[in-house]
Amino acid sequence: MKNSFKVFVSIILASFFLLTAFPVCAAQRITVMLDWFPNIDHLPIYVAQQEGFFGDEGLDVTILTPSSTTDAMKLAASGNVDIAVSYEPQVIIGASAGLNIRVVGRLVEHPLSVLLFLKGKGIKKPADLEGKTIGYTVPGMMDVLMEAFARINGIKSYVPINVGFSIVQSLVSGKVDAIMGPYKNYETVELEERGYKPGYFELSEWGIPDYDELVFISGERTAKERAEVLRGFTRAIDRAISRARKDPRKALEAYFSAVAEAPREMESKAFEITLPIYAHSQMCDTGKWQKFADFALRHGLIEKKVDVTTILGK
Amino acid sequence: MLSVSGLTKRFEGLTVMEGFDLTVPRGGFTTLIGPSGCGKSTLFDVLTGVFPRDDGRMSWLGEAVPDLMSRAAYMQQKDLLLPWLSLIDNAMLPAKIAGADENDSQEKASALFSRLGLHDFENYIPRKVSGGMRQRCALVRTLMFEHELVLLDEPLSSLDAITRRSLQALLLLLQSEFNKTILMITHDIEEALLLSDELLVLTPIPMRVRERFVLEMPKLGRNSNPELLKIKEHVLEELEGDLNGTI
Amino acid sequence: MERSNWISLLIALTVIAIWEFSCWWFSVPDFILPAPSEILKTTVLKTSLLLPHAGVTALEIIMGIFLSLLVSVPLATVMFTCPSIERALSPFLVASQAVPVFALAPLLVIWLGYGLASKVLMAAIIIFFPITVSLLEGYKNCEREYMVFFDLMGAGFWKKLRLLYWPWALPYFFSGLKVGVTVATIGAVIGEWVGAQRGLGYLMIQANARLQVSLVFAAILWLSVMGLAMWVFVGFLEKRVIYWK
Repeated sequence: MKNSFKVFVSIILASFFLLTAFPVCAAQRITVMLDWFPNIDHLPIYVAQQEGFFGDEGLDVTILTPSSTTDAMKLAASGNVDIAVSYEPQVIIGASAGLNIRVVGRLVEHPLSVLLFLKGKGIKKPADLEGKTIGYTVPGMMDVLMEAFARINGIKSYVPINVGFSIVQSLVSGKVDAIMGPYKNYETVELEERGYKPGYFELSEWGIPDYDELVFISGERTAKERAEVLRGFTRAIDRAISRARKDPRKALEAYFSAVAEAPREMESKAFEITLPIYAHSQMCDTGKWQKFADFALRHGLIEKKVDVTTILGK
Repeated sequence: MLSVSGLTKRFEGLTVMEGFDLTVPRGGFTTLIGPSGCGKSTLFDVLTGVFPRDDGRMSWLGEAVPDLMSRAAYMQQKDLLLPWLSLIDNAMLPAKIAGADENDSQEKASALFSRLGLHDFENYIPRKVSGGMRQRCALVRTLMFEHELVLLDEPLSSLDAITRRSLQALLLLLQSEFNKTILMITHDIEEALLLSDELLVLTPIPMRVRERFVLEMPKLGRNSNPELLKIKEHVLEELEGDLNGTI
Repeated sequence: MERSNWISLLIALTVIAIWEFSCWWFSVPDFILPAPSEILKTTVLKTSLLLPHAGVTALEIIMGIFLSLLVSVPLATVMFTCPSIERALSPFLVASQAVPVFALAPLLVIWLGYGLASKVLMAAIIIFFPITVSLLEGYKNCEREYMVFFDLMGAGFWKKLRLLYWPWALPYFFSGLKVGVTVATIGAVIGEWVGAQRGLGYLMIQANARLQVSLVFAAILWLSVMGLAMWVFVGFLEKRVIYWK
């Protein structure tokens, strides 16, 4: 035994030194947090990385995956990440609530979100959702959009449930009757692949104006202090989108080599739907944004009016 | 010598002892014997200072002392060997705590182990040896205290008769070979008569010395001494009377 | 093998058989509940994916344990030395156990980021209580007779701490450590669920989102094995250190 005491003290001292050798703070790079787990919508980011476009701009980009559906915007607003992938409605709602965020680039320029349900359960028009249980994916955005959708389409009451990332499971197990927030290029394909028959209401057909589904945002401070870096980033994204349009197969390969866990067959199908609507330019359309912001105010998505010129950095 | 006078101890209104006196000559072997519950162990706790006393004075070799804590070696009914130390490390504990040189202690302890027949078991842990060997180890430990005064609190009562016999012989060594001054408590009259120079018979609470026997005959051959047999009978009668008195 | 081991094995095999059969009979989609055969296949085939993530989680757990020891051992000792400190700190100690750890997790991630630190701290917080308390109990459980005997030998408090109280407390300490080691896993995984880029907990979330539920179960399987291995290791360590029992 001779002094297990001494042994323990030495172990503890050693571990102390071991711990201080590990850095506690994040590294000094440009960090991009995705809005969701990596999927085909993010292809341009991965293509830019694999083909060296980021490198050409002198950037060392770290791509981060969120643990919950609300992480990305929060972390960008607080400056914990440099860039986050977000959604136009989420940006507008966040800005109205006082978050200091700036839009620095675009990824997908038309809506992908739909109100998803399974066919054969009696849902044919929005009014059929009366009294049903409706899930939503992103708290703070999709639940709010759902409220507006319900009001516009005469649904007086329903039960909202936060399903987070668990879209297919919640729908298939019957936990929810419909979900607001899945993408028409993704979850619909996923369900068909597994033998289910998905149905959906496209938001633009049921009263929601056109918006940019996926955009890049930064916190106000980051947008100011790292403006050059951010411009380099969006230039690289623009190049990647052009490359994907010119040589889709090669772009797909680049994506799959970066995201090994992606289900090839399904995401290749999804790619066909997404390719036309990747952003054609990194500049946002002020008119379109203001139109959505006004719609949001009119229908109670936001309480304070939002002047989009500030958010868009004009 | 050890001199104790006027020792008084009360517990919650009960007077365990009052004005108790005791002397042990230097190099002597004094045994206390009495009925159970007469306060013998309390006496030791008060002498060592584990319990504070209400009155009384003590002195050792003419010098007044507050108590015997860290002034006497101690051996009890339970061996109190630390289960994680080898027998020899256990024995060296008092010396180690007192800050003695480790090599010297090791040599001394080893020699004592041989003397007491434990040589082959020095490095065993207590769990692996018999009760008798553990008590022998405790005896070595008692000798490793630097003190001349030794207090023995029923040291052999947990052992069987045969082991007890062999250890009694070793207890004698404390006095004959190591020149210790010994104060012992026991409930075994034969043991007391075999080992002591002086036997004090105690009363039940409040504790006093009821009778004192000075035993001057040589320790060798005491088992067959008829005079001692008479004393034994006498003491047994007295203690039995005490027992009947309390029923 | 002992008889009880045979029975455990039989029970496990029966459960697995029923599970496998039910999945087949009821045609359960594999993203709702995968069959054991699927899970086993994934566990084996995806080893190259699971191994690095398992390594990260293991590292978080081990570092969390060390961090906790670094605080709990001195703290328990101080609390034992100074009863007034113990009284002052007891309520906080109990509170640290009562606070639901998954409520803390998002805060830790905000303060410490997506890296190792938040998970290590999560694991450390979760085992801090059992280890501190068992060591403190161990100290206090020392039998009075031995304490008195050490006083009689003239030992001061520090000698008693080093030679008596510490060895005496070791068995209690190790039971606390065995509990802690299995529970630390939970802390690390919760930390990963809330914000991470690597680790088995992170893998579970991603796999679930991609409907690769058998991978989720495979990750759980690996986590259980890791927890078990650590428990066995501590048990082995315990037998070496506490050789006298």
